[in-house]
Amino acid sequence: MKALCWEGINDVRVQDVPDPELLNDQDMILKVGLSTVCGSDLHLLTGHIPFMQAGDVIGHEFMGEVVEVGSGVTRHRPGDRVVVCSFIVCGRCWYCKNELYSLCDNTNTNPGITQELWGADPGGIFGYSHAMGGFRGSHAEYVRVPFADHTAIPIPEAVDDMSALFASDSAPTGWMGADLGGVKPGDVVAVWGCGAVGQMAARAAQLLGAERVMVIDRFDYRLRQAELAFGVETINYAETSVGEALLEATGGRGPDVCIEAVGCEAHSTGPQYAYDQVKSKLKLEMDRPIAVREAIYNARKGGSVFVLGVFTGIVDKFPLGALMNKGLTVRGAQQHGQRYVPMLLDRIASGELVTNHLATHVMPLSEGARGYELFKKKEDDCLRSVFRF
Amino acid sequence: MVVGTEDIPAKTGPNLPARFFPAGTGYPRHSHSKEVGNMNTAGKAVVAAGMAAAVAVARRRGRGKAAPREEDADRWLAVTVYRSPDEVQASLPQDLERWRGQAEIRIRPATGDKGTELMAKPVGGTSRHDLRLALRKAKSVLEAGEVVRPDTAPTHPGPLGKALGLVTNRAGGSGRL
Repeated sequence: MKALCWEGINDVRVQDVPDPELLNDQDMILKVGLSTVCGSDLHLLTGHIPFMQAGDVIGHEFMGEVVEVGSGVTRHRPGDRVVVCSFIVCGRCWYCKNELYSLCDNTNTNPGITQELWGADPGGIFGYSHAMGGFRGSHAEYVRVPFADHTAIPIPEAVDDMSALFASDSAPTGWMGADLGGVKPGDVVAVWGCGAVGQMAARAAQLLGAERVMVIDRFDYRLRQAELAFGVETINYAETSVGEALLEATGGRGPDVCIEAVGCEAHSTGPQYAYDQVKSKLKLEMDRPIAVREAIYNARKGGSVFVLGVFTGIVDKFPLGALMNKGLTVRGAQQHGQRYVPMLLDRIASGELVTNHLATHVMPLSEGARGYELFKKKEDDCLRSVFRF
Repeated sequence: MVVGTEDIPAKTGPNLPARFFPAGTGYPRHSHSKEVGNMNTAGKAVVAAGMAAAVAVARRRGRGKAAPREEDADRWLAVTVYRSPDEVQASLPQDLERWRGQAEIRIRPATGDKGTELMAKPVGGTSRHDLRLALRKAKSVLEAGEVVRPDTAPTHPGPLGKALGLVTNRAGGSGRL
């Protein structure tokens, strides 16, 4: 079958790879319908996450049709249309039973790597390096879905494929940021990053009752898209002082909840960005936490900050003093998708949550390399490239 | 293999009742194993490929870790299984059964209804690496009914990928368990 493979730093190519097989009783094989690029893939492309092998199939946000199930699969049948969470979950460990799905104990086949890095191993992810289990990704005609009963969720008839696609990762990740960030009715919420996850976090904040939601980015086309889709307020950090704008908008308090949806290769302006670039190149810090710093600095006293962007290790100039003395609650997580996806699909079906506008560039897998190029360089107002099979 | 169960409330550290752990077995001070030799070795391969400097920085800075101590080799390895002690006792998977005579096994309730702490310690020259792997597999079988298998490796991993393969081939039995 054809698949889009990581072949080296900034080198992805469509290759012939062996078809996936049922390896466990609880596996199923999915014929991929749609699979989208994600900002976190860029950390693989750039080599920022160094645990890739040439020939690894990438992609982790997808939907499709079930074509084969193992003997231990009871909830899905061939022909079913399902959306698959990026995190593979067993559904029965303590973490899964407590809806902390991305922390699943039983799905990372290489736990020693992340245990050494982080002190414990999160669950496995499709197409996201050998540190996260080494599973093949979804930019392929077919993909094996382990623990299928728990990892995949049926799509209601009223939800079209493209809308369902973003219930795989972007929508639940964004919702989690607002939910676990503690958004309450009347809150002012600021979201750093206006990609798909940031937009979904902003919409989630609205649906959870936030009175004002502001999104922050440097690309006007993304800010315009969020404004048009959801009526949120926008701040272009390349043109405006974020801190001053937030103080003005909140009567000098700062946002109640700050959601960071940027991640470890954040961009910025001025000397802070140069500093982080130099230190990360020298491996004196692993990530550039610019948006996290800003979120902590600008949150109101006693407010909360939720880190949704992917980070890999050590950062520098972390504002611990602000965190402590302002009494902030700071939390982060990879998506606990299965906790939210059924509810999100219902909201999509009712028209309350719109997601399909995120797919700005739809193309066949054969154009996969171009899709990533557009996405990485933000060309042609690309928000998400989506591969249709 | 020695299998022992205790249904007393779980405690940790030197204050554990002496009856919980027979003389000479030491006590499980929870599983803060400092045994990292395997990862260090494998990690060097990645460093050779210019990739693991960041990992080394993270480990050094993140944990402030000292070199492994001799006494750590005698620590218990442990996993917490989200099943009752009776269930764990009644159905220890084959991955642990085959260690009969080569490891001591202890079972006790976990705090806060988190299930059962399943602990093991090698006897004689038994490999801690292999025992870690067996514990993890046992936990997965007890909780999820099977051990998820990794997908087949790429056909052309290249030199860097082969170096990474050295890490992943060991990673199942390495770490902090």
